[in-house]
Amino acid sequence: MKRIPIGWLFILPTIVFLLILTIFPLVWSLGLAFCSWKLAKGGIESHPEFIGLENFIEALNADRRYWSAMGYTWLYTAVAVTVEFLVGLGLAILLSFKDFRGRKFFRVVYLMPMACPPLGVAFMWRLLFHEDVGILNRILTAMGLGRIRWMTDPWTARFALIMVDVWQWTPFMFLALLAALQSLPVEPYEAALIDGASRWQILRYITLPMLKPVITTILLLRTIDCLRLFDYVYGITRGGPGLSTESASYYIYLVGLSYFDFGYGSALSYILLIMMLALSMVLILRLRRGL
Amino acid sequence: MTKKENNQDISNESILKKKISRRTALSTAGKIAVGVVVAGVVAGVGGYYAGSAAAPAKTTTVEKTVTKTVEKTVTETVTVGTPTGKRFEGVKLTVVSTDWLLCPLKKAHKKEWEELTGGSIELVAVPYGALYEKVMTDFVTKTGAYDVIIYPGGWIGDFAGGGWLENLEPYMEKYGYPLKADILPGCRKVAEWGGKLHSLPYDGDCHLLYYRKDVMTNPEYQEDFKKKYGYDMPIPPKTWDQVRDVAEFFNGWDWDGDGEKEYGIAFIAKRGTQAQWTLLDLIAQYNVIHGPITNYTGNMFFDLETMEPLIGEPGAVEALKMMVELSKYAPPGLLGYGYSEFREAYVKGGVAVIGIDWGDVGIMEWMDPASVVKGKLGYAKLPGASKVWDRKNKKWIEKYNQNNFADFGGWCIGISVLSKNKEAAYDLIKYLTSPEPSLRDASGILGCWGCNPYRFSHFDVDEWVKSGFGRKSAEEYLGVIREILSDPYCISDLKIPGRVEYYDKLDAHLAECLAGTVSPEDAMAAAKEDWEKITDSLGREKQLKLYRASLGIA
Repeated sequence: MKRIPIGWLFILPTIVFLLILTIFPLVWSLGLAFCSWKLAKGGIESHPEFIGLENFIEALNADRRYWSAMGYTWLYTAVAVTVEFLVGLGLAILLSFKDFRGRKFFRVVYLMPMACPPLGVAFMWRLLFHEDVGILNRILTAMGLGRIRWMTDPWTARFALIMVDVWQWTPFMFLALLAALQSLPVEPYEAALIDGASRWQILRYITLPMLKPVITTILLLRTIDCLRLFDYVYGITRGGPGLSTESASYYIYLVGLSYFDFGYGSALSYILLIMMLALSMVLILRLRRGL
Repeated sequence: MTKKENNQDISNESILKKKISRRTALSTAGKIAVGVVVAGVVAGVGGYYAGSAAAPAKTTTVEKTVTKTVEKTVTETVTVGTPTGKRFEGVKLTVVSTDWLLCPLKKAHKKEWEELTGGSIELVAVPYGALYEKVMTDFVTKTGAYDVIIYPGGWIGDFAGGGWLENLEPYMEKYGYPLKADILPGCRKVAEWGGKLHSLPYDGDCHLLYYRKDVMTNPEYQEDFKKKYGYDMPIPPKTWDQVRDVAEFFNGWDWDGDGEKEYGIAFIAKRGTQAQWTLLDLIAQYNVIHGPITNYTGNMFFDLETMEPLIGEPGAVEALKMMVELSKYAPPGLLGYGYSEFREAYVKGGVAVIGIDWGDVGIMEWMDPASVVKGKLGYAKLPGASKVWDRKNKKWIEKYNQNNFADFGGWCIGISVLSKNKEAAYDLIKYLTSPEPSLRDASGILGCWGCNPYRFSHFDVDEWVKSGFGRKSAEEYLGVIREILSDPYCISDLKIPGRVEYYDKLDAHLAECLAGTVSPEDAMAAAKEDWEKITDSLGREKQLKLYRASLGIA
């Protein structure tokens, strides 16, 4: 009699769980992307109708708003991830010096924003940014610097959202990089110092290459996370002023869960997903080859 | 008889003796005067149980006479029973809406209904921006998480049109409904789909023009205004041009002497927070010729023959131009003003002379402890325009044109077809919309706002004075709302399937224009193009049929 490997039985619940919660929605939504299914059309009687590539053609050719949202999403991601990485790396290096005073205190303080729920953070910043009663403008006015049109100027609003992301997620970069820095072996540094390497040379040729696996991982995670930008847009600007801060995810949310156009919403999601996968692959390959 | 039953009897006896409302004469554009006289009952719990087939055997029969001047006299027999049984013991209802619409339930009605019936209520508060999504998701997934839904009446095309809401007429026949004739006709129309009530009205909505009468009546300011503009300060402004002049005059200086700079006008302008209704207020004046509903008069949204959107017409562009101009005389943070921010700033901060909002500002003026404008506000219907676009003849008509517009359409309360406790749900919504509890909601006596008058009995000034309003303010405030909602030519809000998408697209282009990234012409052209696409995607013929039906045209 053939024996069933006992190991399979142990992992069976995980496989079933994964199939139901991850694979099924992916396959189902992929199917929907090729269908027309708009609730306002048929209400309780509505059902998906196969329409082939129409949704993708519409999205790629005619949806100006989607590509405008996509443009902002990429800009947001590029700026936010770069700033977070550079600031996080700087802080990590600073706090990795053993003679830095108050390092434990700063380590805790820097972690606090990351512990807040993003939507809560969004509502907090919405109040801070308020142009007439917000504390930021009150402080600026008290200092004689005048008001900033945080939420009413398209470019200021775009960068205000990036600022919120940097505030909340730089600690993530910092924490991961600090942990990595503290686990690096000391021998290469000792050898470099004996050879007369400068601080910059040590950072460029020893520290960063050794941090490469961690950097790859955190940049990838943050990039994917930023490309899904939703909470801050929903909580702070609702895509305004105008359409200036509308992100791809927020637009997809409107199409799918406000207009209840499931087919088209699915197609838009898959376009974003494909772009994210492509970017991830490029990022991984580039970082593997060298910084 | 238990002490509780005894108390209930006493309570009902007092209710029977009490005349809850003096229906004041109602004028409908000078044509029909309606005097509603109630001889007998109805109030509170008694009113709620009026006509209830489920009421127990111990009843009192009272005769109620409703006199409708000119037209007819209706006599209705109303049975007021004493509730003795806990009819819904063990039944749990889930009610979903925004937190401010659930506020009266939290503060009073939940407990009242639970005590009366033995049932229990769970309240699910959802932010306004997520309400449609939550409810529709529940429908689509057929979860049936919500029994009772308090929702904006304009969504009835999606909700009832989609088959997700119960037709309430059989319930009304079986279990009765207190004083149906007391509901304002315009509000009743909002809750109807296919000629049947699929919800009960829970709110009467229209925009008002608010103005700081204490500031505008200042003789010094009036003199300066006349010098600058060559005519007397208009109190209240009758046209949008006058609104612009007043807003410009009061913009950017400290007119209330508090040491801070104030502004001319404020309104809801933030993307995704109902800003499009302010634009529609103006479109109603510049793009809709006043009159009965025909293709070219009294019709605001689509051509009645082709379903072509009317928001691309020159009148709509002119309206947006005026809105952009008004925004120059508003606080610098105007584009960040959602309904909450606007109301806070206007009522608690006193930032502008003129404000545009639903009835909520009037309630907050008196009921919000932080209000700095108590007794200082004047109320007026929407200003008109000095010219109106004649779509038929493709030319401007230089004449005064003013339309009332029932913005938003008011909140309605309906029962999900997926509810497992529909009878209990009907009992609850009947209770909530019956005269006495609803008067407490409308007058803000419970400290909640969001629900404005929708019954004739809500216009009883004495009740509002009791709740804390100043008498003069209550008279003016209620007078304006009654005038608007009784206007036979008052434009109804859009209520066909896809409204959320139509309005979101309009809102997006409006926001682009207010942010200065596109011109009014381009914004309205783009909005029109989007509306065409939505109509096509939903089926032009079907949408046309539903649009015509929503206006009462065969």
